Amino acid sequence: MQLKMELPEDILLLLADVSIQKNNILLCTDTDLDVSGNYAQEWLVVTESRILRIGAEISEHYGTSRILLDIPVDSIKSARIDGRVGSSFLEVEVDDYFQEILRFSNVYAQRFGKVVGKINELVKGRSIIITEEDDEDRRRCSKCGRVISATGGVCPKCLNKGAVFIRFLKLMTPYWPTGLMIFVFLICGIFLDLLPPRLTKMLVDNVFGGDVPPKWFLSIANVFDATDPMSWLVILVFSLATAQLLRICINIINGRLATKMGTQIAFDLRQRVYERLQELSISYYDRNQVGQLMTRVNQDIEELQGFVWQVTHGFIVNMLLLVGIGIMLFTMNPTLALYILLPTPLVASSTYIFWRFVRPKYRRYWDRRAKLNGILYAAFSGVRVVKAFAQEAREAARFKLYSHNLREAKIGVDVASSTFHPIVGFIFNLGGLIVWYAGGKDVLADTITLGTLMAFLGYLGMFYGPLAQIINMSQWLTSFMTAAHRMFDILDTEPEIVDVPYAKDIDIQGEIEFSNVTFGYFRHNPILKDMNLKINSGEMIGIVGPSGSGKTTLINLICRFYDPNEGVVKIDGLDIRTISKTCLRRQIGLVLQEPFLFRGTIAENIAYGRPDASFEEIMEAAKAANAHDFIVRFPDGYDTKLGESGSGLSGGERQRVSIARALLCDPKILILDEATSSVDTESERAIQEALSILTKGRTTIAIAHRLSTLRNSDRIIVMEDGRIKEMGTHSELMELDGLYHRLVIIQLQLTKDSESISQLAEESRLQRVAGDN
Amino acid sequence: MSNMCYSKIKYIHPDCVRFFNDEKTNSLSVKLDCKVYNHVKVYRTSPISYPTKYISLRVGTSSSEETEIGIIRDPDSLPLESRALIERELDKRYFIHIITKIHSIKEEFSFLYWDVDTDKGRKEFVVASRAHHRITEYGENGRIILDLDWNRYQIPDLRDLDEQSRRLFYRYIYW
Ligand SMILES: Nc1ncnc2c1ncn2[C@@H]1O[C@H](COP(=O)(O)OP(=O)(O)OP(=O)(O)O)[C@@H](O)[C@H]1O
Ligand SMILES: [Mg+2]
Repeated sequence: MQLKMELPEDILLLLADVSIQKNNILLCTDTDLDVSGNYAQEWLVVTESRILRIGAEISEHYGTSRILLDIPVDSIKSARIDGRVGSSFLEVEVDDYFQEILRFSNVYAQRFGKVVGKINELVKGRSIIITEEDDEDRRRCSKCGRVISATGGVCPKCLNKGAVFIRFLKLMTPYWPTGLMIFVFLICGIFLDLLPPRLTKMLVDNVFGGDVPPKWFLSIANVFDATDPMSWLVILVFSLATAQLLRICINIINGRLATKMGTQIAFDLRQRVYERLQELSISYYDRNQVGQLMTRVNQDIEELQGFVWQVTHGFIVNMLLLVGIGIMLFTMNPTLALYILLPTPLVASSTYIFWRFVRPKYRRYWDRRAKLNGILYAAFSGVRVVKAFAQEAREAARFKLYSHNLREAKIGVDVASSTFHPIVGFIFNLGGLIVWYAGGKDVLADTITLGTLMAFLGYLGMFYGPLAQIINMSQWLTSFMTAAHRMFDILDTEPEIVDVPYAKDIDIQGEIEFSNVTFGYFRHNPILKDMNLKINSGEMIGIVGPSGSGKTTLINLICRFYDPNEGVVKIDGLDIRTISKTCLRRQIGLVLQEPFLFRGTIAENIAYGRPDASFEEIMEAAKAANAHDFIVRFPDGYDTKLGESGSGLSGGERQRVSIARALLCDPKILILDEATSSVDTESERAIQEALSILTKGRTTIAIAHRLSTLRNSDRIIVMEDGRIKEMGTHSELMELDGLYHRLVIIQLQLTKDSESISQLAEESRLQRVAGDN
Repeated sequence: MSNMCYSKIKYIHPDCVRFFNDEKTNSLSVKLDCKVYNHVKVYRTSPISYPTKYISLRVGTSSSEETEIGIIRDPDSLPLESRALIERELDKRYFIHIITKIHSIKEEFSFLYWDVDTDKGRKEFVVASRAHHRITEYGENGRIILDLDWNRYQIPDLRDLDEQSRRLFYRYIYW
């Protein structure tokens, strides 16, 4: 087990010297770095009373192990991981500082995250228990130990490729009727493809050459009373024309069917992936960049659509065509057919060259194009900043650089493909030359007819193309597998925040309780530390504290965007995890620090959480949020269209619309995170008054930096560094003379300053007036 | 602005500062203007543009309490032992592999498997391919590569790599 590894003999002896026996060891694990940052195996040993690091002394006795550090547990207050650049340290708090215990590279981060937890348990006087679960590392494949991109995802190496394929085909089952139709038409099409060279052979041998046509042809010809070569010619040419016409018809029908099916499949898959992404927890979005997710939704599925096309038009057709042509060639003349296979190695190497050297150039081109798009997007959406700092010239220069890169890539693509294609063309022609020579000799020697030679040449023209594609197939499959795998990766990702099976829908009263809650976005870096807090139902709570102290994080836990690492969050005395997510969130009104509005009208935005709200209710909510008046003043009133993410409104206006949106839901718990920070003082007062009426009977939690906002609160919580520092009413806290008191004084100072500034302005105005007189 | 009071960067004059090792905890102590600071941490303010200059000396046990004592413009102006101590502390903070040669890069599914020589020995690691934010520019011609575990690998200057390594690099990474 990772946290209870077998120690080597010499270290056990070393430990015995300091009277530590094997059965005293509670935890024992190794690391890959020494403290100075060299790769070296060192050991961490934890007993009931001591923490030791054992490793090789660098200077003397190189290679022999020694005890490098020995700290008594009772001198330790806590343990933590200090993440640095590229590696981390395990540290323990002794006296007033953190002592470095050992160092590990990021590969071991998960393991030492657990170690820290265990040591903290020990420090608190609880015992260390190591379970099977501690071994589990969800970031690594359990089979091969390779890192998996997403937590709990599928390892690409151990992925059963056949399984992916079968799974994908299963996804396709609903489309089988269309698929079958396409297939039938395909077979017909291939027969039609194989016909013309055969007919050409007859044309040459029987019509012009004077050979007697085969019996079946004669019997058909008899039906039309055709007995001389001239009428045979008519029949043959007519058949050729019919074959070509039919072929075209089939192409048209099949093209339509395949497009319909392909886009339908893409449509369905895109929808499934999108819905799954929406279900996933916020933490998934912390880990994955929004841009990448967009690529997944769009590009990967496009690739799958391409695959459907490949199936219907690509390799199935090619395979069948190849078999058909093969049969034709070998029945006509096996030796000559063997000659045709001579250039196959060349064809194979040409496809290798394509995938190795030409296709990367395409990818480079696509990537650079995407990059240039990104630059354009950033420059246009930040156009105000660009202009404000008068940096148009520099942006232009930057654009030029990337545009130049794109041009280089494009040249690379064009040079490669314009070299590659003619060479491949020549290779394909090589077969023709061989047939001309080898077959020509046979014709001269009268062992085959001229018609056979012509037919051979005809089939040859159709042979190498499909051959090259078939050889390509493994590459196509790889790129398809990658896309399919990425898609299944999303479809298979389980949301981390899930309802327990017995999750209930309840009517929330609004009592909130945190008991011993510890939480961090990364396990080893707790943001909230051992929080205990009880908020009564109907209470109005204000939260203040320095930036980064964990206020928003606290709220994220109440909304259950994340689950705590330790402890429980309770609502009405129930563990929040036993309340169904939708029920919980429907009863929480949330106004975010950065209000996000959607494209649509103002009314639609206010009614976002309750689309069935009547217009009067919408107006009522807007009025309460002090938004009604500015909305009515717009030419289109409540029907004013907002652009992307609410553009068209000022910062304060946006905040007020989002307050209205929260109020409309009539939530039992109302959470305002800096909801009035961009609103002028007068509107704020109006909103305050409205809130003080509206918040009757609901629990309200308001975060604010402007302390005056919170003076109506029943209680104010002062947070610092993930802990509750002070708590009480405004006057209690002022009396306490702590952090809150200091913050209030500073803010008063600031307002005083601004008052004195306006006073100054007034004075100077008076002086000017006096001077004018 | 000149008569207003606002925070300024404090640059430490080489003559006013002394560095010594705290034997007990093996950490850095600094004596500056007659005041002694223990457990001093040393950061590079600009690891890429000025890796050996503008060194920030900081105290405090957690990120929220941390404060800067001052900045050393150029450690080269300090005595040798002081420089060695600063160097030691920098080594504790930064753990970076400098790639000197690329043996191979293989692409499989959406991952790049690297096999490289670094200043810390031969290493193999995996990077998500097409993850542009994991392979970023480092100065003018260099690159920083973050593998799936967020380990850091750097190529200070692509032009200093041998021809074969460079070609391998450019085949898969072209941004
Ligand atoms: N999604 C996230 N992933 C990782 N770390 C995060 C994330 N969100 C916040 N943090 C970190 O958690 C800490 C607390 O953040 P939080 O948003 O709770 O602060 P806050 O008290 O709301 O600050 P502010 O007053 O500036 O809004 C910060 O150090 C921040 O860097
Ligand atoms: Mg916040």
